[in-house]
Amino acid sequence: MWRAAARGVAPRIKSSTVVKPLQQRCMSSGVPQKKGGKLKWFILLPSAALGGVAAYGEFVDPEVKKLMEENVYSPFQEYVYKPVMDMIAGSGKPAEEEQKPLVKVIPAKPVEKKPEPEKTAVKAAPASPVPAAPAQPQPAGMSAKEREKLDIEQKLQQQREKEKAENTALESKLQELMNVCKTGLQEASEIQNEVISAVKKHAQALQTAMDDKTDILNKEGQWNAVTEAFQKRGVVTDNAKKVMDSLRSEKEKLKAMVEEARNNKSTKSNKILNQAQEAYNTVSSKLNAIESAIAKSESENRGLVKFNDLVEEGKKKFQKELESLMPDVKPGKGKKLSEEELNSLIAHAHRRIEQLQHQLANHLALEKERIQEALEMQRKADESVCDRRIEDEAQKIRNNVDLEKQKWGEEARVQFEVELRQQLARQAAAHSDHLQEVLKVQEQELLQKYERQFNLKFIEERQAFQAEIAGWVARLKGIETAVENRAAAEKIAREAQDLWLACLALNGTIRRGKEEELAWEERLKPLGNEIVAVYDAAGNHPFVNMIVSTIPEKAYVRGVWTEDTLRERFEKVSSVCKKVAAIDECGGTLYKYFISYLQSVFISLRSYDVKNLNDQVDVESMDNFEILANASYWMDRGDFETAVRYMNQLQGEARKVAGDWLKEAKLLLETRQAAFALTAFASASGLGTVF
Amino acid sequence: MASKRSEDEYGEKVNRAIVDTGVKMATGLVVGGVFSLVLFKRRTWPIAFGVGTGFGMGYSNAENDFQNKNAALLKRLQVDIQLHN
Repeated sequence: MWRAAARGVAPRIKSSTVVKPLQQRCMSSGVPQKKGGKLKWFILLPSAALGGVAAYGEFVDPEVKKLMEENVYSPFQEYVYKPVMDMIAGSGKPAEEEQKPLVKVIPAKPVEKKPEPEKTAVKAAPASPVPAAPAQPQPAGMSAKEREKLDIEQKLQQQREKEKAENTALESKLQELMNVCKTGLQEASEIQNEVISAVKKHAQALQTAMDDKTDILNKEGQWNAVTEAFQKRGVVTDNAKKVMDSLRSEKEKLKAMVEEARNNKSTKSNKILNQAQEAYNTVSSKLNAIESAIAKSESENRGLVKFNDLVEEGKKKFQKELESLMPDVKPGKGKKLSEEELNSLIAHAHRRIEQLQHQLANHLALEKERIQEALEMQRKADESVCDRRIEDEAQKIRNNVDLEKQKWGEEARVQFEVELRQQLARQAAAHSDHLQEVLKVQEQELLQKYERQFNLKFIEERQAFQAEIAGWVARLKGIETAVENRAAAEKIAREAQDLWLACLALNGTIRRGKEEELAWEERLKPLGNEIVAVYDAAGNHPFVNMIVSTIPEKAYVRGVWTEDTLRERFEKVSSVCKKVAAIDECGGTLYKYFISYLQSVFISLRSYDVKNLNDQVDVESMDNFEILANASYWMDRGDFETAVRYMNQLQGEARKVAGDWLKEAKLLLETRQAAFALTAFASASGLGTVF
Repeated sequence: MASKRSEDEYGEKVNRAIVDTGVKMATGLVVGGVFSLVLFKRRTWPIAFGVGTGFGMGYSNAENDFQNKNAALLKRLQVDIQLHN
């Protein structure tokens, strides 16, 4: 490009940098793209996003799900779903569903409450459902029997309460009735007084009206007063009748109620019945008395009334006659009568007087009879009254007797109850005494039995226990001895182990020496410590003592060459010995040495036949070379001892040369032998105990 | 160097012998040379003489070193005793 620029020509642009036109892009897919179509992205993308987040929340991260629930799901449910569902289903359903659980909670109580309030007065109502309802929720957790019992108890209680309710109702009713009767009675007595007074007044008024001649001018007024009194009497009598009727009805009601109560067994024994009965009795007797009093007064005054009636009748007759005689004269009008009329009147009057006198004479004549009749009537009336009274009294007495009977019956019952209780108590006391005695006796018996058995058992147990103990003690002793033996054996074992270890240490030291040094002389380790250790470990064993005493002192002090080092040294020794093999102990001239050297050069040690271990060796016949050959052979084969033996046969200068080596070798062998003996001894003594 | 091992004695003896002989020969050479120079008018025979003397002395020393005269004497005496007996 720069080159092109330098040339001054427009640069060639690479084809890849060219932006392809729209058409070319479409060509690859084959379909030309629309310019619009963005609306669907507005719907698809958010829903895809929500779905993605929901899936993520569901399967990957619960926190995200919580967030979604808070911010998306619940508002949606509240503001969109529920109103829609409400609209579709109507408002009835969700309210119903809400109310149902409330109804279920209170099934028992209203059922219980219904039978109770039906028959109660004010007091009984609140008491009864309360004990009944709490008893209800219990039955679930008990067995059938207990539930039955509970039911029965409940029923009894209910019955008792019913009775109580009835009784109280009865009582209240009776009380009411009695009160009513009492007030009625009071009223009746008042009214009786009133009636009697009214009747008396009426009679008096009548009397005055008829007999009183002094105040002729006020006759009218008096007769008015009479009529008034009569009216009043009528009113009062009506009143009295009404009152007495009502009282009677009340009394009957009372009686009926008492009878009903007596028949109903639940209220039979209510004390108030007697009271009511008494009240009834009093009321009825008083009522009867009142009635009889009223009747008496009435009957007393009847005569007077009759008399009054007769007089009235006479007057009316007279009036009529007067009218018939003188029709147009109205008395009391104040008009002046003519003379004729007056004469007729007087004549009529005289005639009347004659008639009356005649009648009177008649009456006087029949007076006695009439009196008798009247007396009879009166007697009859009296008799009837008497009968009535007697009946009343009889009724009263009967009632009283009934009442007394009731009372006595109750008292007797109570008495019987008390006596029965006493007897029962006595019986119970006797029974309990008897029981006590019997129990005492039994107790004694049982105690004896128990004591006997107990003692037997106790002795048994004790014996068994002792036997066991003896067994255990023996075992324990056995264990002790075994343990002691074991301990001794272990001690021996340990000692043997110690010895063995010490011997091992000794062997080791003999075998290795001071390993870390390189020079052979410095490998020497004094065996003093190890030998002392062995000596100590063995206690004071004679064998060990003896053997330890055979160990040369040099081993103690200076130490022993190890076999390996001796083997290494042997090479040099052997070669030097070979060089001076032909020289005897006198030494020799240089010439001899030279010849010996020359000889050694031409002789190979391997050319000699090596003697076997078990052959007899003629030491004299072997020359140094043969000896050396044997020794080196056996040394190569590892048989140090044989090699040392052979080397010991060297003669002359060779012997001198190998002298040191031999000494060391001998020392080693000695020490080793002692060590092996000790080890063998240790092994032997420890073998039994180690395993 | 202070190895007292018996097998080393031989080696040491040999070393000593050689060294000794060498030293003696060298000394002889030097003395002979000196004698030659000083007394014998640069003739060669004092040097040879000196070297030879030196060698001889060394050899003699070596031989004595190697020999064990006591042992030889004992042996001779033993033999004599044995012969006598």
